[in-house]
Amino acid sequence: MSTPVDVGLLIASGIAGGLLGIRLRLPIGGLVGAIAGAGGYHLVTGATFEFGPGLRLVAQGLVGMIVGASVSLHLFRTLRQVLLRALAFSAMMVVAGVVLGWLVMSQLGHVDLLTAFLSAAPAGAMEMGAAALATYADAEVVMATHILRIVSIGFLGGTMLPLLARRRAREVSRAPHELAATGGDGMCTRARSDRDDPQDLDR
Amino acid sequence: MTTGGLPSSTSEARPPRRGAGSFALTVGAAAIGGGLLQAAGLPGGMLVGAMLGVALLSLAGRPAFQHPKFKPVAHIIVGTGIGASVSRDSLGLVAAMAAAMVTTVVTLLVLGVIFGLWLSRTTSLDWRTALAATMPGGMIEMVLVSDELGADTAIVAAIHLLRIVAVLMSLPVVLSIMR
Repeated sequence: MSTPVDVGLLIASGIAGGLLGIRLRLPIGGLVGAIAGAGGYHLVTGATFEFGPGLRLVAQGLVGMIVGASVSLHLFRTLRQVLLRALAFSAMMVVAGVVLGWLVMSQLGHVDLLTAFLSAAPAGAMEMGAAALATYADAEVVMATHILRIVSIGFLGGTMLPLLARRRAREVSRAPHELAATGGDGMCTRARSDRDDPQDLDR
Repeated sequence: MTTGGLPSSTSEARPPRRGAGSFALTVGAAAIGGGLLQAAGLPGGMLVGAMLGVALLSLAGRPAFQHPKFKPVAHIIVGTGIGASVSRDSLGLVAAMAAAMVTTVVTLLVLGVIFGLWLSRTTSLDWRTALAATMPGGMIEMVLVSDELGADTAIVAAIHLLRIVAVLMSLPVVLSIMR
């Protein structure tokens, strides 16, 4: 049984780890740092505390409030040109999460379906972490998968996409006669002949 | 860029509300929405209900209270809760699941790239914006990447947010089935 001092130090370790993660500008630094800080203290000392139902509800409510506050009419105005396709993409990712959770995480990884779906569902790490806490899923597996996803895809996106952009820019600069055919920079627009109606953006 | 929200790069974006009144309204909306779904017994009800309650408030023309410190605080609370339950057994389980996790992540990445290419070919989105928007990394990270690429960061953030909201909205149904 952990003493109040142990619990206090455990929580302080989580906070310190989270602040350090933010300071170091790690991807989802607050989350990763807090897990490392509190987890490290727990593993070394054995101190623990029950993240009780009340705390879990508070965490869920706070996370839900943050995501909900980002939803606005501005979101739909921003997406108005591609809204249908963006919705289709989102629906597809939900289905992908379900299928991958069942086929890969559950069948291959042998975890329960709840943990499997929360691990594979391509939502935010914070949101899925809160959901894992709420549903008593295996939060470590859920977070490990999301951290892997965010770090690896962030790294790939941050390195591969700029490389690809520079390569395309070099190709365009070597073939200036193609500029007229592509209607501009050759990268950002499709050839005008491909479009039936330049204003019909979400066909 | 606003923390936790869409880039306020256009004049159409309303600034987030500050002040005690707005805070109380936002917390109230979250509590009511979350309380209702939680009382209904839906898995993750508080999470989804709070999101819906605040989103409805925002869509009704009352921009919700936002503060740049909210997200770091939420990160630390959730992270501390998870860290407190880490054990050697669970670390061992994570190591044993490496293949499954990598397969899941790679598949999601491939799907994201395919969809990104589809978006760029069927809409006026350039390939940089489309790929940054559909690669299923973290929203903040991909918005930063899109900024570096000169892509449309507002659309990238919006599509990532839509994806997150869609998954969260599906939680009660999917979790009920999987239980």
